[in-house]
Amino acid sequence: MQQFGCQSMQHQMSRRRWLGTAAAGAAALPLLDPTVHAAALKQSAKQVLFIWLDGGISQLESWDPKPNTEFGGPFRAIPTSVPGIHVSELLPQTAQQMQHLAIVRSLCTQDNAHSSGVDRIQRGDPKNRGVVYPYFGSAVTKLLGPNNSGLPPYVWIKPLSGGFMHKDAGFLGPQYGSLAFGDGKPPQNLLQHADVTDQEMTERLEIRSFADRRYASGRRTTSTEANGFVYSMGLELMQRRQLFDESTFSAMDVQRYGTHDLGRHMLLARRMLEAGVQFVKVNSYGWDTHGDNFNGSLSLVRRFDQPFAALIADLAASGLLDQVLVIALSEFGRTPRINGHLGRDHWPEAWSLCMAGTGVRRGVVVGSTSDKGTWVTSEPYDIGHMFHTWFRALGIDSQQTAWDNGGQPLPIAHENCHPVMDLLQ
Amino acid sequence: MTHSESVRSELRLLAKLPATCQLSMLRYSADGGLLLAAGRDARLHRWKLPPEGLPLPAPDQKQPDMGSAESLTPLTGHNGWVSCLATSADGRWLISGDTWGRLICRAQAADQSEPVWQHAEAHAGWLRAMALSPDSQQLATCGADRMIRLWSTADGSLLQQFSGGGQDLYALAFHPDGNRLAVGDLQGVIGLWDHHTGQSLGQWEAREFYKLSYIQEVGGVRGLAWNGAGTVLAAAGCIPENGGFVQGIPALRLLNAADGSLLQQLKLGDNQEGFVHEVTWHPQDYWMGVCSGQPGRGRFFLHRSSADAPFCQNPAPLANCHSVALHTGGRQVAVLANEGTYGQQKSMAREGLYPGNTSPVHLFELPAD
Repeated sequence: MQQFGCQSMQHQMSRRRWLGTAAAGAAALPLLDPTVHAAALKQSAKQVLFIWLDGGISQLESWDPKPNTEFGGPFRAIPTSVPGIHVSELLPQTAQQMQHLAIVRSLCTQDNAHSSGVDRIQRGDPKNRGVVYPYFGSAVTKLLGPNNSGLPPYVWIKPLSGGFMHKDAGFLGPQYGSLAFGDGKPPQNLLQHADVTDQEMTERLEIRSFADRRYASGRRTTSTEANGFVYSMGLELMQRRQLFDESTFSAMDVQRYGTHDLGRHMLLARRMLEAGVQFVKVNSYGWDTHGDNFNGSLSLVRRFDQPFAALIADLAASGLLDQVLVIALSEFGRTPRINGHLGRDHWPEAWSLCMAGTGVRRGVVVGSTSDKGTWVTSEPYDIGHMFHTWFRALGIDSQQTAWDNGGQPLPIAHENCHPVMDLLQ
Repeated sequence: MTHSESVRSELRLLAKLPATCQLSMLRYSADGGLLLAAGRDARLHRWKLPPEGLPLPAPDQKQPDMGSAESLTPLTGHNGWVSCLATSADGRWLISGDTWGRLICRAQAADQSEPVWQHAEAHAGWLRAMALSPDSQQLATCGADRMIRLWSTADGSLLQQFSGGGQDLYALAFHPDGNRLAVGDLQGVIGLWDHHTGQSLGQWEAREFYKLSYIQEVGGVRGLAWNGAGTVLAAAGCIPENGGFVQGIPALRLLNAADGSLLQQLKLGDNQEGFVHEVTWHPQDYWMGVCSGQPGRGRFFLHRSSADAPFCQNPAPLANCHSVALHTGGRQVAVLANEGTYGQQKSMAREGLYPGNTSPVHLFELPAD
């Protein structure tokens, strides 16, 4: 909201109104194959929770422990609710939810730099064709199409500031960006001013819509559409602002998820999913543990463990896990070798992620690494394999569906990769 | 180190002992004839030395070697990392703890390797620190399970246990009078305890050694030591700037033992470095400590309480220093320098070449007073 500065109301227009009045212009936008789009509409109940541990969680202190080995670190491995599967002792609560989870231990990706790696992973690292691919969240909301939640389709709960993040959308156009709730708070100045009556508000909106239509008829751009979309989201959130009221969470849930940032944000994420938001991304920062990795992991991994396990348990209990795809990952893993600061550095060669939910096999580990965790010993999977797998889990045939980028057909996931069937139901 | 130009340096490097793995702590045997190292390979590494200490190297020797130190077979029995160790002044006990919570007591003699007693789960997880009482009759331990435990060194029986206040406990030290135990935690609180009863005697502050960075708790009191008279308590740590990389100012806080008030806070680097990992007292009335920093900026320093800067530090660059041990004779020290090749050379890994880092041990002759 802040980035687009919705003060200029004459430039605003709701996305729905825009789509309703300017359908003729839609051909200029990247669209799905119509048959795929129709199929996608049937899948609109699908949702995604995408947990991004920014900087790189250590696979050795989480999903792929190597206790009592040269690079194994100080921690033990513990059994889980699934016989034969062990995780780090820093995940005691998640271990009890293993029957719902699928761990991938054989990721081998291409980039060991944060600056480029974050983008490459979240965009699926497609072949370079001179276009900017959408982040997974933008892609999913486009592919699944609108649902009837009355809420923004793609929200991002993160520490620090919020705003509308149009860059996520890539060539899909800025309206497929994410709406970020800084520290889980709604956009500023969300409430209708006390001096403005409902009647006055309605009249203002009608004037704004009229002005928007007239403006758009001559100057239509994806940016103006995005502006309108953001305004529309603001109106939606005005009606649903109670979602952000932390006082309405039960004391027990607050305790279960944790009062730290990630706990609060994951609890809000659950509420957003329950309210029907299609794609919820939760960010946690500070995982780039080049120094003091092991004491750091005691804080970081445990503070992930607590709300992650609580959320998985809640989604399973409510049945939502049958329609929500949950993914927890970083831009890469961390080095087996322990540096002189007792840290671990960046390691895309052999790392792990965890997933659960709709379309995903439960209680499984896929892939393996060498005894010391240095490299993958099974078929290595790039992020393209994961994109194929995630799309497939959401009911989207990633090998038959293509983007139409203004006439340029583009695969929605790297064409040299494929879905990992061992991960799929 | 802003004072480095003016610091007098009279350390003399006697030997550099290669290690096969990273190490976490050093201690000498009571007779000075053994140097022991806690290994991050779950083993206790040992070197046999002349009890009177190593001789000075020849004047024309440029690169010191192992000198007359002899590497002995490492002792096994631990898991994870050996995280701490202690040798009793009476020459009887060598006690070690690990990150899986195991505590092992052996005889100190080089030819003895079987445990005299041990506890597989002395603590639930990471056994952080240990200290022997001045009479060597009791061993105090603390851990990430937030507990403090007292053990009989003679037979390993548990004498006392109590909660250390709700945080991960990092360091402890017996007061020289044997009646108080100082315990430092993750959040920079130093608890004073009557270890006989488990009663709290108060709390002293080192809160600057703590920061919550996003969801990461950073810092902690990493080392504690009393001076010989028991009038000053030194707390080692870092004034953290951030999590992740965990950079900050290596710092030493000297506290008045009468009331816990701050006598001095010594900063040993800029805000892009690491921790003072260990501090200990030299009978000639000064502190010895080690700290980590950016590569090549690790330090071993000697500091008098009354001064505003260390009077001596390592003359040549060292890697990150994690432990210092004083030889029985008081003239030599062993400093563990944790060398650190950056870990990301993936081409090496693809070729099957991916050696781990090690922590060579530097033996120094201390300056004459």
